[in-house]
Parts: sequence; structure tokens; C-alpha cells
Amino acid sequence: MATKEKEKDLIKYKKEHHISSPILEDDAGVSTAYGVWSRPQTFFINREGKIVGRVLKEMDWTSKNMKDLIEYLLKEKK
Amino acid sequence: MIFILIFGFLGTRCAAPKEELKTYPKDYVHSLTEINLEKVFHENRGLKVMEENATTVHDYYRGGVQEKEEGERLMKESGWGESRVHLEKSNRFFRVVLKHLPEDEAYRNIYGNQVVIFLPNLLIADNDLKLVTVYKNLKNDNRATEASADGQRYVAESLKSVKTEWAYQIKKGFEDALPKK
Repeated sequence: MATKEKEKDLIKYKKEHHISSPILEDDAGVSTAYGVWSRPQTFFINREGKIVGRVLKEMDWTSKNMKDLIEYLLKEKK
Repeated sequence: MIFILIFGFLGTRCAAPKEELKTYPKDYVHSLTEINLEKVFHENRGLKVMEENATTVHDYYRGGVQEKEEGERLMKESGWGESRVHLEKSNRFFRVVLKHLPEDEAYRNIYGNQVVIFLPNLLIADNDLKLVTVYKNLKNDNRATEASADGQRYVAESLKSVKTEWAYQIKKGFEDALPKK
């Protein structure tokens, strides 16, 4: 989610960094609703739509801790 | 399936403010149309901050404002007991904020070009002024007197940093709320 960024900058950034996931534009409404007052921030939302985790700093997505966390969340009962 | 929502990217690379914060002369009094409670409520609505999930100073600030809004809503419905719970909780949130950021700021740049009204001292004073009414309705005059004394200290603290019409209005409210000795 990118707040108040120009579309052409987002497209360029996505290409440069080979990002395959969608980047959504936010006019600040979404970040305000989530109470995001600093960036980067990451929210983990489970299949019921509940926020089950929040991280307030940059993360290494390939770290063991992160993989363990995602695996744990994916194993949650349906 | 889980959904991972990341706020960041370009903003993360470039954290420098895009706009300069406006500066004001020391004795400038911010008008009620410029700084008021409704604006503060509006800036802090959204995802509810739970006490157990609050991690940053700004979480506590938002939590304090959200509890205040709920307390005031209940007060309008004469739910004095419930209103008291929320207004006191709001004050607890704001006191955590003051441990880290003790001064009020008319406008605080919290990230990039995101600016918010930041008045924890004044918001405690405003809560205390409302708590005077709540305690009176709960027939607890001692607590009403304490809230008045506390609130007057906080409004004075707020005025040391930022002058607002709102603060002067609260100050007058305290003077009118309790009988003069």
C-alpha cells in the first residue's frame, strides 16, 4: 500500500525491484483507518479478516523467523 | 490463507518531509476553527487501539483520543458510570504519552508529510473538565474537586507550549464549574 505516491513512480519502482504482488494506491484514507503513523508497517490478516500481527519496522522476508510466523499463521484452523 | 498488508515502499525510501511545518510566533493563539476537538477526533479515528496492542507513543495518543470520543458519546447519553471508565482510561493513555513527549505541539510531524494536532496535556485537561460533571452526577464531590485541580494544572502546562482558544475555553470552564471559595 503506497500512500500519496504518483502512479508512474509506483510502476517504475515495481519494475526496478521486480515486485510481483500488487501495490495499491492510498490517498491516506486506508493508512489512517489502520492507524499507520510510521512506515514501513506490516499487518497480518487471517482468513476471518482479523488482524493477527503487526510489525512496525523493516523486515527480512526471507528470515527464519518470518518464515516460521507465516507458516504458523497458515496452519491456523479453518 | 493470510493477507499481508504492507504500508511503505516509496515512502520508506524517502522519509524526508515533503512540506515544511508552518511555524507560529510564540504568543500566537490558535483559533477554535483551526484547532478543536472534532478535528482531533477525526484525525484519530479508524482501527481501534487496544491497550494490550499499543506499542508506540502515537498508538497511546490515538488510543487516548478514541477512548475520549467514546467517553464523551456516553456522557451525552447520561451514561455517567460508563463514561467515567472511558474518560479515565483516556487519561491513562495520555499519561503514557506524556512520559515520552511531555510538551503539547499544535502540529506534530509524525511521518513524512503527515501532520497531526498533538495536545496530550490539553486533552487530559478537557477530560478532567468533563469528569468534573461526571463525578458530580455520580455524587462524588471529592473526585470532582480532584479532577478540577488536576485539569487546571494540565491546561496550564498546555498553555506553556501552545496557546489555543480551546485551552482558554477549558480554563474558563474550570473556573465556572466549581463554586468559588
